[in-house]
Amino acid sequence: MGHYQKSSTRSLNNGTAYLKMRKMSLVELVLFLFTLTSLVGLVLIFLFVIKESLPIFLKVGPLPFLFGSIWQPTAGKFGLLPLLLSSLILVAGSIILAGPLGVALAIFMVEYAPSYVRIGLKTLVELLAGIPSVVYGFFGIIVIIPLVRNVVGGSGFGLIPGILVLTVMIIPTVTAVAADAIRVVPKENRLIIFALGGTRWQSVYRGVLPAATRGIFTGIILAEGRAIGETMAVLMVLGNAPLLPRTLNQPASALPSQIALDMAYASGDHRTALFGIGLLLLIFSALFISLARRVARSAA
Amino acid sequence: MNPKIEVNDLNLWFGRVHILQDIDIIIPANQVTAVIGPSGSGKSSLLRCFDRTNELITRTKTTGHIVIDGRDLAFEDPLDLRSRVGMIFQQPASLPGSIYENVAVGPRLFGIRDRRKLDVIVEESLTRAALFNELKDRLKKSAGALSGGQKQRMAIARALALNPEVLLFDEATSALDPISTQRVEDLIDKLKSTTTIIMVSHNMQQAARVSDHTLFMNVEEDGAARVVEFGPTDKIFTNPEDEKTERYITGRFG
Amino acid sequence: MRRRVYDRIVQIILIAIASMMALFLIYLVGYIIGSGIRGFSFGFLTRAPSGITQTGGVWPMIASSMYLIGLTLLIAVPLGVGGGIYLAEYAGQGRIVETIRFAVDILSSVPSIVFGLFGLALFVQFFGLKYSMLSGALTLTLMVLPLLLKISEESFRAVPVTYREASLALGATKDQTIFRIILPTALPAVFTGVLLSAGRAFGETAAVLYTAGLSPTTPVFPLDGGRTLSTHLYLLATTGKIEESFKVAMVLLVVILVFNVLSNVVISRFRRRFIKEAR
Repeated sequence: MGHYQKSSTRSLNNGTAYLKMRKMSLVELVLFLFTLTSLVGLVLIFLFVIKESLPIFLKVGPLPFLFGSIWQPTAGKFGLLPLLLSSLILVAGSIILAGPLGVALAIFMVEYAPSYVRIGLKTLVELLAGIPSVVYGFFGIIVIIPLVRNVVGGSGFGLIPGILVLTVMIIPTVTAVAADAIRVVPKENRLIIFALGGTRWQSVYRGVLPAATRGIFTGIILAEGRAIGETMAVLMVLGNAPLLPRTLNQPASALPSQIALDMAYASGDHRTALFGIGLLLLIFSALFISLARRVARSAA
Repeated sequence: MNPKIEVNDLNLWFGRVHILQDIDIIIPANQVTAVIGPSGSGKSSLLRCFDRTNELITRTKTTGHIVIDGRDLAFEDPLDLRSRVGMIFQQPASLPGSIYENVAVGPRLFGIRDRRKLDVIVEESLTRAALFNELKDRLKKSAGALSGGQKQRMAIARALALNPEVLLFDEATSALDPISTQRVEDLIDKLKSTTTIIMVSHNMQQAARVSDHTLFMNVEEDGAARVVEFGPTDKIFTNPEDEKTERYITGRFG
Repeated sequence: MRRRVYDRIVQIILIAIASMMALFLIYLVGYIIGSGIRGFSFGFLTRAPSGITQTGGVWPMIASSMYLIGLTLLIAVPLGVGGGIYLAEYAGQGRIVETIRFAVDILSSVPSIVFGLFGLALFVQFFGLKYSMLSGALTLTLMVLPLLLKISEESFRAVPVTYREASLALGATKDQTIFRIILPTALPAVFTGVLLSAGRAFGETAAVLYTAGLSPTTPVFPLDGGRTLSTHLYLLATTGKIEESFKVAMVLLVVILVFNVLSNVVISRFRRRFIKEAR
């Protein structure tokens, strides 16, 4: 795309940073500094979260902190295992549901739907992505929890509504990324199958999907990243009991929601432990996005 | 000369646009028929009438008849029809996956899963496409690494794997270098003993070299394409009846 | 024959899934707006909540949300759009730029509660800004920055190369070309990025909970605290004030819908213009 001066920029960047600074105009320098805020911000986030969480790792030790099975801050017990397991169950459960649904929606949008339906579905996905997570949480409280209570019994709060709410929230991510990946598959891939007498589904299954696999996985990984960090909606439906999850139909507490729940009053070790959870989340999401980047890149 | 395909009074519309008008031709069996004409003269659209792939792209309306071996295409199931009529596209393209998978995809569509059967089909098809010896050691390698010419011959093998009666070439050599083009032309010459071949070409020399019959199409002022002249290639290229044909093949228009 | 049946079944399943999603959205929006509109009056938007139940009005929350969005955009838009210009027009493929792009990607994936933690540690406590609009806005700035950068960069790249060539051919410098020609042309598309960021900031709760605070008062100065509308919904819904929650949820949804429609209108105008000019 429009790079009338790409070659000059390239040669510039092949030089040293020192040379580059000298050739910058004032405008360029200012804009560069603006761009730099993201990097500085990210570094600050890591620094502060690490600094604030360091005491808990030193005091309790990384392994007992991560895998201790009791979270009872008032009793001085900081074991993350109940939260960690609940979070993993939430991520796994929601991706098992949202993965196939999201990909199916993407396939339908790109390969089957007439253009006016496609535009409608695109708006639908954008809207689903735009609805605030507190609204999803509220919807969970008024609709999903009574439903769970009636169908499986118990209070209704717990992992099941958590998974369901998360599923709806991450479908847009899966669908948007998968649809992009499907859209860029060359039209020849479909024509080859059609010309051999294939059905539409065969053209999708044999011609399109194999070429879009990496993009689809990128979408799923990004969605998992979103699911692990989602806070408010999960906080509102989980029941917030930091217990080891034994069944799906029990109150639980997840990593991000525990932070939101306790931060209001936490102090001392409890506070540093919450920053420890924050660090864990930061690492998880950084891993997910790096993985997604790697998968997306190897496609090229 | 046995007729293979009879086209009677064929008219084609894309939406409201009249694309083909009053096409009346008989395509002989086991021969090569070249379709020539300036850009936008409906050559590819006509070709796609024979395997009914126009209707996949836009809303189409057809009147008249196309009859293959006495059977009217309009009453045939398009999926079955397409398995009997192979198409080679202009852009050399491969599906993701190995060379083997690319050639085996047709039979797989029709439910053949038996590995030994597929092995036989793949070898036979590649042999018929004069590609087996060249590629037999790398059948399991990705097809994406093949050259444009190899991909195009692999596309022919892929079509042959279904044993088609008719092969359609839609400017299949226009993206290839001269040597690869030569190989594809040689292949077309060999294949006409078993199949009926219709090729759209922009290249006059190629049409003259390869085909037995030539169909010259042109767009009239109203925008719909008609047949200007159809006959033995020798005659079209040495002694055309229509003045427009002569001007086109001598490069004075189009 | 089997493959045809298969084809049909798949088609039916796909249609069913798409309809299910559409029905779900219609149900969600319809249910919340339908319930929220009962007993709703405009006074609800302009009154302050009263009593220990803190119900009956949301004016301070609307004010806090608007204040917060305004302040966030004030800081984030220059940074994001400026950065977008840099990435689209000046940046090459050097190591620094690659690192920045990677950082932006990571930043875009940071969970909002972690932004909240960070804002609490740095702005609220370390810089002593307390629970305030400013703390919230600075936190939200970092959160919406990746989105703004990405959309701005894309918008600048979408401007046809002929514009640049024409301007440069007339003797304009590169900086002049960018600010007089390219920026005005790309502005509508950049504006959608601003709208999307505003929508994000508006709906965000986890990041503002412990930076902007919970106080149900109308903020005047940047160092005043305030409770946003989304935070208010969280507090209402988790304390069983369902009727009031519906009203707040309705307001949230309507605003988000408006943001969405608006950005779609702007972007489609922008696209249409370039398609026209390409002809």
